[in-house]
Amino acid sequence: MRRSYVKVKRRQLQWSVFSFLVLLVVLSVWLLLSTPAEPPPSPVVTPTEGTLTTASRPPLTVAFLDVGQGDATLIHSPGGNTMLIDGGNSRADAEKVILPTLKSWNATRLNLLVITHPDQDHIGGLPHVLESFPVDRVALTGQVHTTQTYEKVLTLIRDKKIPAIKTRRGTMLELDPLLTLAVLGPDDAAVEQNDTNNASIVIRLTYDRISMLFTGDAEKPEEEAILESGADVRAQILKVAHHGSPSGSSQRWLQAVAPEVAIISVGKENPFGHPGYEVLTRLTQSNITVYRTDRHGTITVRSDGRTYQIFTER
Amino acid sequence: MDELRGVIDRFEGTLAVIVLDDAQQLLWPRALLPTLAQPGTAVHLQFVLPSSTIASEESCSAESTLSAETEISAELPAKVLYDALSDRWQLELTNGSVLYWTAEMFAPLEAGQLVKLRLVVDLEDTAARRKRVQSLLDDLFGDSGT
Repeated sequence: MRRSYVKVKRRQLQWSVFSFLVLLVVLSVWLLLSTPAEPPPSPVVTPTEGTLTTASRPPLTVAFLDVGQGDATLIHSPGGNTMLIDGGNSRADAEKVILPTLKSWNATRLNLLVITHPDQDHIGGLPHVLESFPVDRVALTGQVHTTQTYEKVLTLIRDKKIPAIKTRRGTMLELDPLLTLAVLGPDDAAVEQNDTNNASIVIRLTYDRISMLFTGDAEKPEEEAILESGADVRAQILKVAHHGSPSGSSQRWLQAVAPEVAIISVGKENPFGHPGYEVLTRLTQSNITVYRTDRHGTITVRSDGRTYQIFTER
Repeated sequence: MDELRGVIDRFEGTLAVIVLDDAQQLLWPRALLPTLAQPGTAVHLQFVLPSSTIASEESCSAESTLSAETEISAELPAKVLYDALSDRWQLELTNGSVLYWTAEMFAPLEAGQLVKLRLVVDLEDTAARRKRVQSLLDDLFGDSGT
């Protein structure tokens, strides 16, 4: 009797331990699946090949910042240098988005600032950036534009004695030995015209096997000029020009670039109707995955030069 | 201050984006700009007091089809508004574009009143700004700026 009681007790104990272990495994799996591994949130998409191996290769980080209807892209190179392409639409963009992101990256200076062109929605936050953050070099076309904001930007560059790089097609910008930053446009003739968009600095960044194309507000005339120049425009990641305006991103351009991912920097319910329906249709029909700052917030691309991952703020 | 100064920064489709020297931005229908107004052109914005009294929504939209009057100036109807949150007066164009101005300009007016906003091209100021910017670029690029 006593023996059978002990047997029952032991079975009950074994069953309880087994049940507890099963519960533990289920809980662990559930926790593993439901908890994001690391910030930033909402990791989406898409290694092009293999697995991201950031342990062996230092990462490149490119953040397409959510500055509403404007452009600002921050780059953290594999070697730890920082670069800003354009500065948003207003001082608030610098105060609330650009500088906090730099600080969150523990950056103490901007090694390179690129002003693609002098339109307000690309330079509005730059006076505040230049006033509050050390900048080593500035790349710009030197096109004349007459807004007070541009005058302030140029005055700050001069007064702070920041070396200025007169940037044209063929210029190679230096940021990090692991990166190639080839300027594909504009040429002298475009800069002499009174057309700021089509004198945008267009840059192809390459990190080993991964390329990204930064296009400013280039429209069809500049796209055509770049294609006519015979430049290699292929890139896995395309920053869509001019906030997705139908004035650019022609079918020929998209076919030549052949991107896997398109990123559009655009303000929610902006008064200009950006991005254009035609452009969105062309991108979708070409099976290009589209990310938009008005919907996804800041969009971050991380790459080890072989693969890339995309993270969105929302 | 009876006028604001700025520059036509760019065209975006049917709209011109005017960036004022105090960093405000205003959208002006491109088709209703003076013919000499181009991106980069300096402009003055002047406040034209009304001949009529309180505006209605209907009269506001009816007058929004005003065409450019001359080569150098154009007018658009605007409505006086008071923004209680910021305790500031403002003008609202019929396209929803809003412009803050100094309070003394609004002293004789009341919220809802219709006024006109006049845009005047200033070719002299345009040339002066271009000269200043070119001089800065020459400094930056060692006199080889474009």
